Amino acid sequence: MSYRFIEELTLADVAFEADGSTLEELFASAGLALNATQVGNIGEIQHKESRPFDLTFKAVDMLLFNFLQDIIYWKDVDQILFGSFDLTIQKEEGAYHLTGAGRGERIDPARHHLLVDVKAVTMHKFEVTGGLNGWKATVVLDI
Amino acid sequence: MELGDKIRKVSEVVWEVDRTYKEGMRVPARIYGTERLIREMDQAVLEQITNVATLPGILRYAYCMPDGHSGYGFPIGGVAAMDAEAGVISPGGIGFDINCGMRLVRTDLTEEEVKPKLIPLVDLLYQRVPAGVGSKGFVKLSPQEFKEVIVGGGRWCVKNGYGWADDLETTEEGGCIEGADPEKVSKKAIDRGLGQIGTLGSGNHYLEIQVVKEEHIFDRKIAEAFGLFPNQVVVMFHCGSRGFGHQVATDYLQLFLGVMESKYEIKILDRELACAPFRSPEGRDYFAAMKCALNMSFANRQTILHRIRESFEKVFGKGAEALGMRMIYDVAHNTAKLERYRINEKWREVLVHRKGATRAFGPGHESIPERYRPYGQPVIIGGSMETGSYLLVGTEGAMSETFGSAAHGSGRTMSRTQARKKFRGDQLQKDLKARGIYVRTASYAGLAEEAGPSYKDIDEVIEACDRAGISKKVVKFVPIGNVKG
Repeated sequence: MSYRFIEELTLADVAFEADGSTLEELFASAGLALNATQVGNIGEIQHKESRPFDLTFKAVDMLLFNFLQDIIYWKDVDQILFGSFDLTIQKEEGAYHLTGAGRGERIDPARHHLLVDVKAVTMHKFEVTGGLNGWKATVVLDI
Repeated sequence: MELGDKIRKVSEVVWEVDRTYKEGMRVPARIYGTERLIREMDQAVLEQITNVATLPGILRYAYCMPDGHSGYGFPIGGVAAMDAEAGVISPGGIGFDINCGMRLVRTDLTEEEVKPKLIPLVDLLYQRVPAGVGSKGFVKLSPQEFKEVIVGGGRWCVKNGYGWADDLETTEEGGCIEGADPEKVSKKAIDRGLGQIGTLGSGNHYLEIQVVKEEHIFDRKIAEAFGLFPNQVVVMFHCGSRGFGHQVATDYLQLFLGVMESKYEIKILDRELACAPFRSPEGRDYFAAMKCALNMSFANRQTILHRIRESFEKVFGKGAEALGMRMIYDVAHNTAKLERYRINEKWREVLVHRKGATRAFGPGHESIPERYRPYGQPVIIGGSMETGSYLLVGTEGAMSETFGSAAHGSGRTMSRTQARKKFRGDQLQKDLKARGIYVRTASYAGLAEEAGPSYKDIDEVIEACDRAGISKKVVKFVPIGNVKG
């Protein structure tokens, strides 16, 4: 479970690759990558509050797209930055169902090393690949 | 970008890519810029602008302005005019930050008068105009009141005491575009925008105190008509529709992906170019929702202007009117708008997508405020915080060549990660202070990403616009103070 930022994929925005041995790990990695775009010391985010995730999509890439969008949503609405995720993803009746929660705290400019605001997840080069041997995603964020 | 045999030189500042470059291109692509600017553009611009050329209903050319660089779907600097009847509308041709734009405000103050109070002024602006990740604005609204804002735009602000009637006259669309329908906007979009009116955002968004130098006045008559004079201090700022506009674009991007092929048999080369026929129910709904974001952004810039005026009043101990703080203009650079152009001897209604491109209507156009009509629409082009910004005017050339469009900024040449490796925000802040530019920032890393060398040479971008005849330079402004998001 990890992520890395990619320089060559975008000039004005931020791109990253995330992976995980399971879909849950992949989604948690991608969620952390998104937050690491916004705050430098992501490891210091305290787990004081949680927000729920409940999403169903037929395509796994659209599930990830909307999961990341929900992270942006909570940042804008409640100023929450997540430091960890506890997720379950099940495939039932031809659709992926994600439930779980993100844990984190409200933005505190005095403690959080703030970087840039993520506006949106783009569809540019957006990709989720994998299967039994692990999962990988490529994401370009609009800054 | 490599200048191989695929790119034909039309003039010193216009380059053309033929339809044969890529299967599916309906029109050629035209990229504006000097040879140096074209060579500096990243190769992805060529791929992205030729992808745009495949969209249904596109007219004449897919255009890229001299500040162009790669984006997602459209390149930044991309312009595409679609036939209103047979063409499509694409959120990717507008950008997530709908109606991101520039506002320019004059003052009667000179550099000599402002310099002694620059630090308290910038400090106060930094405090009064929230910037950076997750910032909240001072306007507290219920969801119902927010719906009134997205219908009324700048008009709502003036009615509620956040501006002057004259501000509306000098805002594109009078600060309020007709046809905004809040019923076409999701609850999520409203939730995200609710607390963000009056905030700058981050990335390349900023608020700047600038000076008009005598040697930077290129057209004295027009400068005077706009109320500009040597050594004068002006305020320029850059921001958009914040989370509200971002969510509107995201919602409709997904909706269009769902219907584009299955319902309308439209195939595209990049999912970020997702689109729907403009006259379809989905296309109409997006247009009405996008207009809500246009109005939100006008309201955002209007409330920021209100806070700027209050800050100047406090620091200089005089009313904003007495300080001559009149708006010069407010212009959007991420939009799609219905406009009329003469094509093949006939007037046609055209949907012009501008993604990182400024409307640049020529003299006499009825959409220009009467006071500016003899000169052309003010075109505000923001540069990096180190190099300066420009005011130009729209031209007849823009009307006949680029569907009334010109550049919007200086355009990036270096990725954000690269810039962060190369520059240190705290050091840059010190260096700029030594050069007479006082900067306050919500993020040192964000400041490093916006360092001057991360951008193209703005003078060359402006020169290319001027030489191509798609706008005419009037004044250059140099920064002395900056609030960076």
